[in-house]
Parts: sequence; C-alpha cells; structure tokens
Amino acid sequence: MSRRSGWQRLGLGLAVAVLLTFAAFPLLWMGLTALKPSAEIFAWPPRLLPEAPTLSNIGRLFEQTHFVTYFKNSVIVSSAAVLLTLLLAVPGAYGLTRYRFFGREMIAATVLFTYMFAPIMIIIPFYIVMRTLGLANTHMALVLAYCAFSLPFALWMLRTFFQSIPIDLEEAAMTDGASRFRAVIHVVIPMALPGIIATGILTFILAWNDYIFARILISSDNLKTLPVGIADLYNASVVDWGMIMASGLLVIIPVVIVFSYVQKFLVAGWGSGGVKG
Amino acid sequence: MQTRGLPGLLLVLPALLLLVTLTLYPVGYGFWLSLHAKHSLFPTQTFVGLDNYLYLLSDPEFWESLRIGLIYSVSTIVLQLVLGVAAALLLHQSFFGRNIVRGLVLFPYMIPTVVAVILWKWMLNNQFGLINFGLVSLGISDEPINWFGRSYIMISLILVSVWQFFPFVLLAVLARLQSIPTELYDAARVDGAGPVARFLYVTLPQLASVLFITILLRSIWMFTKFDTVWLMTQGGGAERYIRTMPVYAYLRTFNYYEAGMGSAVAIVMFFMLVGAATTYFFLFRGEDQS
Amino acid sequence: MAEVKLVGLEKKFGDVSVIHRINLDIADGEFAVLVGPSGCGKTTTLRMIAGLEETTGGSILFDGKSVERLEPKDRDIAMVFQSYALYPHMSVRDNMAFSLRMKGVSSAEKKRLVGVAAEMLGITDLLDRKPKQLSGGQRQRVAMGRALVREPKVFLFDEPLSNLDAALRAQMRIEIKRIHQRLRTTIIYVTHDQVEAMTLADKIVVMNGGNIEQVGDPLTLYRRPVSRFVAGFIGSPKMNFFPAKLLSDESGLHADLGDGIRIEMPRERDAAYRPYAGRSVEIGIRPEHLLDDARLIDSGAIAMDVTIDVVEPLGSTSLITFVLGGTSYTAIGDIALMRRPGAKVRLKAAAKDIYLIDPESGRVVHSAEPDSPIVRLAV
Repeated sequence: MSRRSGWQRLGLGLAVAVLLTFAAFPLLWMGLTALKPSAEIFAWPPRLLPEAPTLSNIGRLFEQTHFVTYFKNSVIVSSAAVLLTLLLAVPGAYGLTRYRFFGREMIAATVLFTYMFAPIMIIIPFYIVMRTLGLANTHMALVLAYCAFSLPFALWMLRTFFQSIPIDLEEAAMTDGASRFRAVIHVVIPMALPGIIATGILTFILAWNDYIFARILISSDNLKTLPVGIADLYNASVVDWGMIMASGLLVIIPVVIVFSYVQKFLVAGWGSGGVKG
Repeated sequence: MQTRGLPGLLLVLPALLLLVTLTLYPVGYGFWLSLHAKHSLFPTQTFVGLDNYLYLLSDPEFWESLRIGLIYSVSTIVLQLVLGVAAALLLHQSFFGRNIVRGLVLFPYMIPTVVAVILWKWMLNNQFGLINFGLVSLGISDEPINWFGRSYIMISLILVSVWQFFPFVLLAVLARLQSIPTELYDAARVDGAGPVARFLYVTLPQLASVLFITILLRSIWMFTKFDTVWLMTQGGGAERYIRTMPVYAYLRTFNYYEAGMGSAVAIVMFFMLVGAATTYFFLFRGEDQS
Repeated sequence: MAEVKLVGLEKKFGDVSVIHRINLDIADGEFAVLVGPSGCGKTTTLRMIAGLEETTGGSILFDGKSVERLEPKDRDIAMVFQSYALYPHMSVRDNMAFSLRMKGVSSAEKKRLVGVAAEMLGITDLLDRKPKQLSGGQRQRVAMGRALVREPKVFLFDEPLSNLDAALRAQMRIEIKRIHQRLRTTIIYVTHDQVEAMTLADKIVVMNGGNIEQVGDPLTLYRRPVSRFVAGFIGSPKMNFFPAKLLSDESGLHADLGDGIRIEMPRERDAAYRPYAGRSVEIGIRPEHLLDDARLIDSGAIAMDVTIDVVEPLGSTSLITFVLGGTSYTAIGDIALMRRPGAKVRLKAAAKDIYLIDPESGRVVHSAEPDSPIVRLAV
C-alpha cells in the first residue's frame, strides 16, 4: 500500500545522495588524493579523478618513513589485545550468564559502569601505574590498556549471546554424556562463534584506532603504532599531503575488511552495545 | 541450569581483576593524586589537601576550558542527534542498494580518529582544500576561509566531530527502528493515524528508551573527548580556542608535568559527569523505560 | 453493517501472482471465515480488504461502493491482529481510545465507548494497565476491545487466537461468537485452524494456492466437499483416501482397493460414477464413518478386513491406525472393544458415507441430489 509517488522517490533519492556524500565522500577524496602525483594534488581548480594515477606516495611512505614498523606494531598489539580480551571475556560472560552466585548482579553493574569511562579520566593515573610497574614504553602496557577498555562491552555483548543460546542444548549435551566443559566446547562455543568473532573484531578496531594510550604510553619511535606514527608524520615538518593521504588509506583498509563482517550484526540486532568512543 | 556457586565467580574473576586494577583502581588513585603536588615523572609527591582544587577555582584557564568544553559538547551532541536520527529514519526506508549505503555511512565512526582529522584538514585546507574551492567557485565566500584560524577552528572541530560520531546515533536508532513490529503501524493505519500521527504515536515512543541511553553515552563521551580535539589543535596556531577540559588536563600533566593538578581537572570532570548524569536520570527516566 | 463483495480480486508481487482473481460475496451481518493452509493467500486477501495491502486488479465493494483506493482509516473497518499490535507505551484505556482520538471524538464520548466495550469484554479492571502487565488472554481481549469501540461496518480478524493455549482458545471462540450474535456486524476472520472455521463461521471460504476452493456453510463443506483438498482439510482426523480401481460387473459398480478388499458402490450413484468405470480413482471415507463395530448391518454397509497397527484410546472412542499398501489410515474403534495391535478387525462404513474422487482433477464426484439434505429447524 506504500507505493511512492514520483516526487517522493526523487526526494528520497536526493536525501540518500546527500547523506552518502557527507559521510563517504571525504574518504573517497582521501583515496583519490593518495593516488595523485603531487602536481595534480595541488592543481587549481582541483580535479576529481587522478589523470596519471601513481603509487609513488605509497612508495615514499614505505621508503622514507617507519610506516612498515608502525604497521607491524599495530598488528602485534591489536591481535594480542583481541586474544587477551577474548580469553578473559568468554569465560567471564559464560560465568555471568550460567551461574548464580552472590554479587553477580553487582559485578554486572560494575562492568556496565566502567563501560562509560573515557580514557582521559584514567589515563593520568594509568600512566603513573605503568611507570611504577616498569611497563611504560612497552607493547604490554598497550595490550593491557586495550583489554581493560574492551572488556566491558565484550562481557556485555557475549553475555547477550550466551543468554540467547537455550540452556536445553547444554543439558541435552550433558545427558548425552558430555561433561560441562565438553558441553561448552562442543555446543555453546560453536553457537556463540559469530558473537565471539564480532566481539573480537570490535576489540581489534578499538585497539587499531587508539591514539591516546599509544601517545602517552609509548615514547620510542620503533614501538609506535600507526595512529601515533601518522600523527607525528603530519606534525613533522612541511606536510606531504600525498603521503599522508596514502597512510590514511592504508590504515583504514584492515578496518574496512573486518568491519564488513560485523556490519550486518550491528545493524541487525543488538544496536549500539558495540563500540565506544 | 543456572548453577549455584563458586565456579561462576572463578570464571569471572580474571576479567574482574583486570577491570578493577586497570580502570577502577586508577580512578581511585587519580583522586589520591589530585590531593598531592606530584611531578609527572618523578616518584615523589607532597600532600597538599584540596589546594589543587582551590587553585583551579581561581584559574581563568580552567574556567575557559569549561566554557569551551560545554560549547563543544553541547553543540556536537545536538547536531549528531539530529543528523543521526534523521539519517536512521531515512535508511529505514526501503530503496535499492540500502544495505551498501548503510555500511558506507557507518565508516566515519569506524576509522581511526587520526585519519578523520587529517582527511578533514585536507578537505578544509585553506590553499588547496576542496571545501574552500567549492565555497569560492559557488560565490558563497569571496576568498578562501582560514578554517583553522581563531574564528573558525571551533566550527571545524564541531564539523569533524559530528561527522565522526553521528553514525553511532544512527546505528542505535536504526537497530531500534527495525525492531518495531510492523503490525503496530498496520494497527495505527486502521485506527486512522496518518504519517505524522504514526511517527508521533508509534515511532517516537518506541525510540524513547534508545534515545535516553544514547544521549547519556554520547554526552559522557563528547564531554571527555580527547583525541579528536587534541589532534585538531596540532598546527595552525589557534589551539587556545578549542582547549577543552580533557585537553587542559592533558597539558597540565604532560606539558607542565603537574600530575596532581592534571588529575584534579580529570576528577572535577568526573564529578560533573556524575552530577549531570544523576540529574538526567532523575528528570527523564520515565516509568516505562525498559 | 455492510455487505462485502470481492470481484475478480487479484494480487501480484512483481510477476508472481499470489491471489488469482477471486470472487466472493459476504452478506451483511455474516460471519465469514477464510481458512486454508499457510501461504494460501488468506491473510493477503484480508489485508487487501483492510487496505494494508494494495490490490493489483479487481475490486472490493462495501455495500456496492468500491473501496480499494481508500486508505484503511476511510474504510470504516476495525482489525484484530495476530500479535495483537497493542501500543506498548499506552495504557489499555489509551489503546482502546486511540482510533477515537484520531477521529477527534469528544472525551466524554470516548469514555462512554471505551466503558461499553470494556464492560462487554470484562476488562474494566485492566483499563489503567500497560500491555506488558497483561497475560496473553487479557491482551487478546484488549485487542478486541480496541476494535469494538470503533463500531465499524466490518470487523477483520487475522488469526487472533493462534497465540493462545488450547483452553483459552476454546473460551475466546465462544466469546467471539457471542459478540457476533449480539452486534450482528459483518466479520471476516482468517485462520488456519479448521476447527475454528467450523465452530465460528456462517460461511466458510476454503482457500488454496491463491484460489477459492469452495464457499459454503460448515455442514455443506463437511458433507459435500467439492474437492479432495476440501475433503481432506475439513474434518478431524483427516479423511482417508484409498487408491482404488473402479470396476463394473453384473452386480453393479465396485471399487477394488487391493489386498482383496472390494467396496460396493451405492446403486443410486450409478449414473454419476458410471463414467469412471475401468479407471483408477480414490475412495474417501472419514475416520468417524469407518467403524470397527458390527452395528452397521444394513444392505448398503461396506466392509474391509484389516490388521491393526496402533490403537490410541480417547476415552469415549479410540483411534485405530491400520496400514494398506504402505499407507496409514485411521478408523474409529469402540472403546469397549479395546483392540490390540496385530489383531484382525472388520471395519464397516455406510454406503452413503463414501466419496469418489477423480484423481486427475482432484474433484469429488457427487450425484445430482444431496444424499441427506440438511434440515434447519426454524426457531
């Protein structure tokens, strides 16, 4: 019954186009700039498409900067953060879902409370604690920080997932002769796998994107992660826009890849429980 | 099989310990720090009581950071809510390619802040930026605007922040919209409600709870937003005009090495948020929040 | 109060036609039930009548006036939804008054109308509650109350009882019937449950694959189904269909069911059945007409000897399952003669209770006159 008239369709199309331009065009422009030789980058009036597309910006990035080191550091730190977070959050969320013990609801409420914390509220004491422990300027400090910041949403998201798995299935596995542990390994984990993967991806994105912890906790150039590396590249001297845009493009590629996996979950169901920032 | 007992607690314990030592303890330690005069790098400190807080009361830079922080957070929250809700309603309509558009529109929220900032610095560049080119060639402005100068830096910062964070609102609202049963709209149509009445009496009440929580989270996170603001202050010479409270806390700690004073700013921020959140709950939490 | 007519009504989604030009007349004040398996098009038809779904052809007439271009609100209808569709943030009172509010009815009048409807449904105590504070049965009543306050020309019900448990469903069925007897408003009611259709309807409309199979009152549909589909759909347990060969010899027509089972065809149907002599047919017998008792001793009684597979005692009778040619069939056993699986039993049926089905067309072959005319008693 809701067939649209011509005008309504035109209006809808226009509104979508405006929204899409606002949200996505700057990213497209970054990608196009990254592929332009510098003569074209500074051409006036600017042209949309590169006439002589080039990879020289990326080449300079690899040769003249520590981009590859930053990239490697980011991969190491983010992956370690994902592993540690899942290692703690999967059993934690299972315990919060399937067991009834004194203080359970209080723990759940505390977790929700810490979800609202912003980095700036704890970064100063956090930095001093890390210095005292001798962990300042190590990747370990970053992994711990990202894990601490991912845990609240990881626990909540996984808890929702475990709650959606009928208890009957575990009970069936246990009457079929499985121990509780084996029931979890063979029944619960496979069913919660999409949720575990999504949680891991969101943790990865959080760690991959972080600027503030890396800025404050890391001082050696060879330990820096991408966001800090790029910010320093920008601040260094005369801005090489082609190279900067190329670095931006390369940084978001992993995010784009993993995000396309979680996108359907995010829009489909449990809403904004996902990320923070 | 809600088993009673210890194993559950043991499973949660590692995660809980990490949360307590790495987030709750630092908040407490931050409060302790704020009562001391402490150099950021050396392991010595002197107890000064409330001196740091008293100093802040008479510190014009602190009050200025509060003023700027409020301008920044209130305007970005309002704008991202309006834009996010409007975009969610739009993307809830069915049209060709909707899923792809939904994915693309979420990207600004998913990319690193540093990328968001540098790409807008390029878009807004006063010599070669696309925005200035557009404004001048359309005749809206006679000459390129210095987006990072004193008069425009706040507007640029707001633009970048809204661009970066409206997808969060969009995501939350869209997910809720999709969970409203279509039969409710059918019933409303049979009951004689037109499009406007359906929005007012069916859609809006269903969005109330998600808007409540979204506004709360966005307010907390915008008021304490550090990285976007900090990265925007780099270069350009107008840093002073976007020095919000989080930036001020950072400067105190890491540029002046006054960890105690920096912590005091952070703790003031923390208590202002607790106060605001309590008031907000008290005022708006209706009896049917679910 | 209105008479509803569907004329050549059609619905296509793209190139796929889901309702194929159906025609239907529903008299003023009639209780019409659209029944059929899921996907038969009954809900789509109802939604087109409501105006929630666009028609792609044909017309819908209320009292002779075409309404298919009107918005739902302008059709003077009320609808009860399967999920009840109560507005979760409004109290029961506000839910019921919502359509009146949209029409701009004065608050005194609103109060009166809501009061009357609440009284009729026994939900006066619940008026200040929110939907989520109600049980399933109470929500169902509120959904009906919301429809009642409008005093519409036509009530539309979309599987309103399918979310209730069996006991509550039986109770609400009586309630709905009582309301109809009192208000005498035209009702169009969609269900997949043939028991609901039989118990509620003045007129049953059996739908299948986007077509109307048969329209009629419950007993006509039970006694003279036009097709194998209707014969199998109406009645519980389902009618048995035996594949058979129709043979003709000097004693008349008879059906050979295999395993040495022969059924004599009644002589009065000779004319109707004669064209099928020598062909494969299906013989339909309802379980409740296929008895293991020896009470049927009249000359028209037909008999078959079978081996019992399963017995299910029901209290007053028992269901007997037996297997012929690899297919299971059902008969009714006497509870007093508690049979054992594996036992041989002779089943009997009256000749008038058998149906002959042309397997090619799926039509039931009827003789010209009804075997037993339905007698209505004037009250």
